[in-house]
Amino acid sequence: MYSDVWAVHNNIGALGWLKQSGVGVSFENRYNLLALNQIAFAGAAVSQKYGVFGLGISRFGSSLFNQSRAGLGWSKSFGIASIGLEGQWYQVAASEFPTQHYFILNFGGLAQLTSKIHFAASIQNLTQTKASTIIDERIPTIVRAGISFTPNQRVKLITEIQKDLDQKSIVKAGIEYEVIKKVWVRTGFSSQIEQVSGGLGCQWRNLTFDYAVANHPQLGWTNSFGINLLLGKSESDQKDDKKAGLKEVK
Amino acid sequence: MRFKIILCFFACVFGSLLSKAQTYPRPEIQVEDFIENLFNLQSADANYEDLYEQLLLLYSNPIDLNLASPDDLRNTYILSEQQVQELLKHRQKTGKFLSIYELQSIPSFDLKTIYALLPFAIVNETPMNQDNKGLFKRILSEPNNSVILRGSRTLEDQKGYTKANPDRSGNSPSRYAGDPNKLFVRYRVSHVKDFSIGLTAEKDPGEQLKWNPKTNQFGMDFWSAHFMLENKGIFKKIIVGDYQYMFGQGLVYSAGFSVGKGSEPITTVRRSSIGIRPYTSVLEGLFFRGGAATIGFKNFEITALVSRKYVDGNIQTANDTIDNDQIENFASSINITGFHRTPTELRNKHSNREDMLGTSIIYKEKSGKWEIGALATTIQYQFPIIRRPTVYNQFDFNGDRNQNLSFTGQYNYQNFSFFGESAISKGGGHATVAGLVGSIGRGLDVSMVARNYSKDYHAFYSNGFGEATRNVNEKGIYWGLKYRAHPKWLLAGYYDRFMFPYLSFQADGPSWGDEYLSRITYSPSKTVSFFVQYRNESKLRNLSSNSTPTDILVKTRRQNWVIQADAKATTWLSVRTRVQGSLWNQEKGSPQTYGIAISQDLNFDFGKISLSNRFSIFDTDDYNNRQYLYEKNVLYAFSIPALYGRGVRFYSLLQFSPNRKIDVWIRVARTIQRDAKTIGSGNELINGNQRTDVVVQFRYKF
Repeated sequence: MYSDVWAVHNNIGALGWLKQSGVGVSFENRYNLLALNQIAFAGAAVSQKYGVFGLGISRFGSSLFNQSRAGLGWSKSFGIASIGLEGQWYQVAASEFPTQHYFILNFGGLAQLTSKIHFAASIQNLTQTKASTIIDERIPTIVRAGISFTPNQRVKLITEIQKDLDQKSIVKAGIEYEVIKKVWVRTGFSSQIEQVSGGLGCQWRNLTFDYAVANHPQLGWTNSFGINLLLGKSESDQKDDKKAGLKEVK
Repeated sequence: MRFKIILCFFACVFGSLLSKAQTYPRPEIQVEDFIENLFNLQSADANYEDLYEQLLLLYSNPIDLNLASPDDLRNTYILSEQQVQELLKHRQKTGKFLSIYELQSIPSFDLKTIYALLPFAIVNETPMNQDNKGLFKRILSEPNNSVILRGSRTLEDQKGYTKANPDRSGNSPSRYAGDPNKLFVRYRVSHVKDFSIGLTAEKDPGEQLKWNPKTNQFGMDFWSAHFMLENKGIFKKIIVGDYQYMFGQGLVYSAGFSVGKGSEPITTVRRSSIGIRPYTSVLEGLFFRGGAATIGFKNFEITALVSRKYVDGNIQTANDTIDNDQIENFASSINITGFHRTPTELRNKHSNREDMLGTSIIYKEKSGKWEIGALATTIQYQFPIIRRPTVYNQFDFNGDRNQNLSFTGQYNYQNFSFFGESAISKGGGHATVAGLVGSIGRGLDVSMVARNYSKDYHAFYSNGFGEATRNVNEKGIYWGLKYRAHPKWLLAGYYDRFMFPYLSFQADGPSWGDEYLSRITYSPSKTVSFFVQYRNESKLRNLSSNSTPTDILVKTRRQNWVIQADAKATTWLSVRTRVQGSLWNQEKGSPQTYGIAISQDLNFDFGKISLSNRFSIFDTDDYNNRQYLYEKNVLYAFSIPALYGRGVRFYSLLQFSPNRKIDVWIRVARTIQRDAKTIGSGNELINGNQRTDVVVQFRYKF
């Protein structure tokens, strides 16, 4: 599984590989500061014919300063590659300042180069939307490109480079390992922002739970938690059911 | 698979029945190749000669595949966790190894691993103690014995051996008391898991060779000896003489040895609890002198350690501030270089007494799945150590007594091994390290280590995993990955992130940094190999071009790269080309500086006679870009010169065996720096632009 509903936030182009509709919510607290909370929702509807449609909503910050996003996207796979496009409404609110609204466009794609290697890229804010009418300040345009490598079914190695036009590039690397069936451990690090992280994920029936903790040497700890609900049955589950059925027959 | 095992079994049985000569001859350890694969040679502040000496010590005790514990196997740094587990399983299932060839029948053992393991592993045909001979007879008839004699010197005149002219105030600058010859003698006879006897003596260049029982000098400057027995009744090990002790992850007692971060990212991050080890080296600071014993009782291993030795240090006298008649002696430091050449060094020799007592208890679960252990130890000095206070050493050890208490544990789950140790010292300082190594797929290995060492943790013989040389003032986390993607391709790399909460070396403030290394090895055939390696280290350091009174911390970056090609052209000729370089820069500092070194090796091997040659050239902008090149040397000696400036260096090493009992080595190495007027510094200074070192060594097997 190299895509889930959270692709709507991270890389709309990867959403096209989704086989099963689903919804998810997540919560993140950064550096133990209440003002840096983020909550997010993601949902995806899979249509065999038209591709995958996604809805992503998130809110970061407190009443004094907050950023909200709501996006609607579409993605579809063609052969070994998928592409996707998303329109996002983006609001920045700071107390005592007028609230700003923007419209930004995100684009992304994911290609299965071999059975073990996947390549993905995304551009956030393709339109390079202006943030201010007075000075030439822009909403950040972030380009990301990454490779995932699956040497065997239980291991996934991922590396990604992220470049914000106005910032130094960040390299991230991570590993995911399925310790026991449907339980994953993850760990990784990123250069430049120098954050290290580790996490745990597990699946129980149609529910997946993910927890992650990250540490920054100066700023401290970040905790994240998410729950996803898969709607309907995936192909693999159906296979499992068939196997189970066979056993019962025997 | 089963068929393969049976086949192998028969091959072994018939092999051993038909002829005794069928046993695989254990190849001589090619230390340089092996070490180059383990170490990350270009690290800034490591004493490589010491590290190599320690590693050699480790390998001079080969492991017996039939008796080796999991820790013994891991300690070779060759086997992955999966291979360790499979070897143990194999031994459990099919019984003792009949021959070293049997390794081929273990699924995860590829030929590369087996070849790498051969120099360090044996399979004993006559299991110890079972050949009914008395110990004395066994010692006399042991074939694994040799005496080594080595002499070396620098041919050019060095300042330390010249006549000193008194300066204006009449003080003569210090000069060496002895001659520039270095002498070394070692005798060793040992049998794995049975006994070990050794005697080592050494005189460094500049030290005197004289017989003066009054000053406890008996010819050579340094003497070391040991007598150890293993597996005698309830005693697992019992030793008298010089020894080392290794417990847990090395936070208290590490036997002085660590590999740490290097080109091998997995197997080197874990320390093995190998317990008591005989000491046969000449590093004069890293051992205990006295006695030690380990008793095996059910699943417990109980160890007692006693040591008394004299250490070097500058003893000073201070009047008691309250009672003026009371005079107190103290040492400002302890010096572990072991040099006793100048009047000052001779005066400081063995001036302070160090007494050590320790005990440990380890519980090992029967199947080897897990173990836990505890250690308590105390070290007492005759004269207290009182350092001259600086901002740096605020939290360093002061006083005459230190105590450590430590707990360790390890747990094996599937192809994973988890390990950790946590220790405290008398002043309340603490240190903790924990990690895992594991095989998560075919040819895919990972490791992870986290550590947290407080700034006031004190342990004189510690050497746990870390970025800094001492286990203090450091927090960090490390990831390693190794992937044999294909029999011909090997990928390896690590990422380490660390921080130093208090002042550290060349950093006058809390600092942090990270480091990564990646290496790709391609071996298209058994005789050709090729690798590319890149390493990047960034950390905060004082800005070197800063002129303000307060130091400024800036990001300091060091990059190293290596490209190397090896080829065995024919049975008697092998060649190697190595190109390596470095870049060094500081943010907001002076422009980036560079260094490069290229070396070409040409080695001839005709069996009884072999000749190794190297020509290398180096050009570096500054000392920050110095290039370390590992060189072949006579057996059990090391040479890793740090080359900087501009010049050439070459050496030739001749080895021949006039008969089966005698081996002779002769080595000549010379560095020429044409645009330099002098080479070296201090008493080692040579007036001239070249330096020549000659070594001659004999080995006699009784």
